[in-house]
Amino acid sequence: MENRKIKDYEEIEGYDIYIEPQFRPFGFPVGLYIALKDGVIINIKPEFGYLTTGVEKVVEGMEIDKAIPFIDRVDSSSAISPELTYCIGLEKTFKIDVPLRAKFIRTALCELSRISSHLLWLTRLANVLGINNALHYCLREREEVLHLIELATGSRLTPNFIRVGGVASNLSPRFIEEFRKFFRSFRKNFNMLKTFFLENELVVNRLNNLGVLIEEDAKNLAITGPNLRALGIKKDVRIDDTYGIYDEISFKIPVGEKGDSLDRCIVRMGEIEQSTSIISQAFYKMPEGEIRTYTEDINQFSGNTRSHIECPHGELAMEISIDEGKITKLRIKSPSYNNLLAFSRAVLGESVEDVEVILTSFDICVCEVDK
Amino acid sequence: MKGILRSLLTVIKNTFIRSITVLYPYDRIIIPYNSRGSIRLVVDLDTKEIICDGCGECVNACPLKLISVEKVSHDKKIKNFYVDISRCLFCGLCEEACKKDALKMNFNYELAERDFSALRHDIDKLTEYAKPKVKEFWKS
Amino acid sequence: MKILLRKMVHKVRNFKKFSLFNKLTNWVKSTSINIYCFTSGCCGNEILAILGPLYDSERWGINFVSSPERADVIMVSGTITEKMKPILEDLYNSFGNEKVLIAVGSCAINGGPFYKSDFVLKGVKEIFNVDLYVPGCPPRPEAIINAILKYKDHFK
Ligand code: SF4
Ligand code: SF4
Ligand code: SF4
Repeated sequence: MENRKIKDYEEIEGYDIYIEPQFRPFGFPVGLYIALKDGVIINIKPEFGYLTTGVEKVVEGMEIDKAIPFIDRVDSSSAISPELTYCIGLEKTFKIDVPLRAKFIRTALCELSRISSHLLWLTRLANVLGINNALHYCLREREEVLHLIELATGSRLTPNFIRVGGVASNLSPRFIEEFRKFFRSFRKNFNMLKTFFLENELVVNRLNNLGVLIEEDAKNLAITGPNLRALGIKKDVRIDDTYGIYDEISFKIPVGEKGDSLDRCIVRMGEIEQSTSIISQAFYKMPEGEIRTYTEDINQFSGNTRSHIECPHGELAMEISIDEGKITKLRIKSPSYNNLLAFSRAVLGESVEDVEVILTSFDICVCEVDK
Repeated sequence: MKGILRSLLTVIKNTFIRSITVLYPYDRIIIPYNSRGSIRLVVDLDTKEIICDGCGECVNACPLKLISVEKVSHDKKIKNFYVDISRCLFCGLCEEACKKDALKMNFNYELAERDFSALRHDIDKLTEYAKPKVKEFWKS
Repeated sequence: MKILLRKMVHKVRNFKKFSLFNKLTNWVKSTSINIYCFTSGCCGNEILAILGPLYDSERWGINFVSSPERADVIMVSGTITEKMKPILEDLYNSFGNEKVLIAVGSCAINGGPFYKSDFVLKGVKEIFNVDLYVPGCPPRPEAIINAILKYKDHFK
């Protein structure tokens, strides 16, 4: 045990503390080398790659439909967004029409998984800050959202639901019934969660002015998603380059002011509220009809394609090459990788006790960083 | 100060609402009808025979090639059917591919085993749910 | 004096093998299980869920501890890569005498969906002795609780 640690210190000089990757419970393996001066962090180096699965290589040579369950495992907290990126890209180049009902179902499920991902992030934040009451209330709400996702797709975390040209199965009447019940109670319970994070002075004073990200750093490191919007910049793929049915639905994009941890919390809380209103509008406008267009000659396709969507962590982009119905190349640009680099800039000048709080406030999914 | 008192008040309010905990081993959580658990083979209730005829559609559909079928030659019956549960993704592609509805994912999720070889399910285990239990046998 | 001390030590050591004492320690162990959780990957989210109010794992005295020296059981879940392997080996060596290991999720059992990949270890069973396998990708929280309750019978 000691030999390995001494070797690590010899390799990287000038760092005082090493936080090991297994130190953080519940799926967060990132190691941190920290350099200190008078109790203040002057340099930090994240050590990642503990979860490299090589999805991009495993998928090569597979048929189009069979690759979808593997692409699920890229994002652990909202697995439906990489699926959607993959399918949207293929539909665009091969000119497959998607039925209108399928588009509505896709949007509703994407927003549901956005809510579940943000609630998981709130749970982790409560765990780090030590608010045990709020942790249990967050998990209670998350269970209900996951139950709805399971009712529609058949699995809690890895749905394998979206197909090229539509979705796999139709929504049952029981789903809409249960969604109405959930919707009534969720508004009330979510206001209760707000009192814990945004009104309680103990939490607000802790998060305020903690881990401020400068606008110049954010632009150099190409940050996207809620972390960029916390700076006050209004950028969202759902509005700038619309896909699906987002142009038929009216919703706001919450923004922050200065880009500290409290602003990130406010932006994500606002996004949960907007997502619930998007889902209720989608159910109100949803038409009847087909859910999938079948294409016979899917095995003769070949070409290159690109696509990008807004996933809960930021902008997720993919580049796919297909030769006679088989994948020859797949590249994924994940937003969490840029967020991890942004964390290493934002943490400079803070004390060691706040490292964990700032790291969780950036919402980093390690499955996405390493792939 | 006001915020701290308000969050304390919500905690006190929440102690009086009904508990949502499910006492799991005695009382089960209701899981949706389309939830995906382990695989089983469908048995015709009248004739007590397995519907599957060994066409091999599901073998080709599985992305990891976990299913294998042994067929009796010149007959529409199968001798054995293996599924390797230890590596299964629970993706449901094999269920989608079967055109005769002979393969279904059931509600069973309690799959923990001490023995590694027990995770390779054969035909006895896949049709276990349809066999008459001992108690029912003596009653009838 | 020395001989007397040695006799005392011998008596205390023998006392551990005494059946009633053994029964008592086993009973204590079966009612409060300390688990060290080694998570990486998507299965970690489901282990977080069993702490929540719907499943409430503390009804059986299931307790998650943060150091392997204090734990009775080590629970490995998620993808184990070649880079992670030396860390896991260190943890396993600093674990107590009675080593019990539960593998959760198909990645930990067998390499799972990524068994063809060069970076991923083909299951924990290649390096250690595994006591319980919990298949699923990811397994439901009830399945994990059920596995821990099965492990309880190990002591009775
Ligand atoms: S289960 Fe269905 S698809 Fe598979 S061999 Fe039998 S009949 Fe064919
Ligand atoms: S569920 Fe998926 S991985 Fe499992 S046997 Fe069926 S097709 Fe193969
Ligand atoms: S077993 Fe499945 S869900 Fe668990 S870590 Fe591996 S890929 Fe993710």
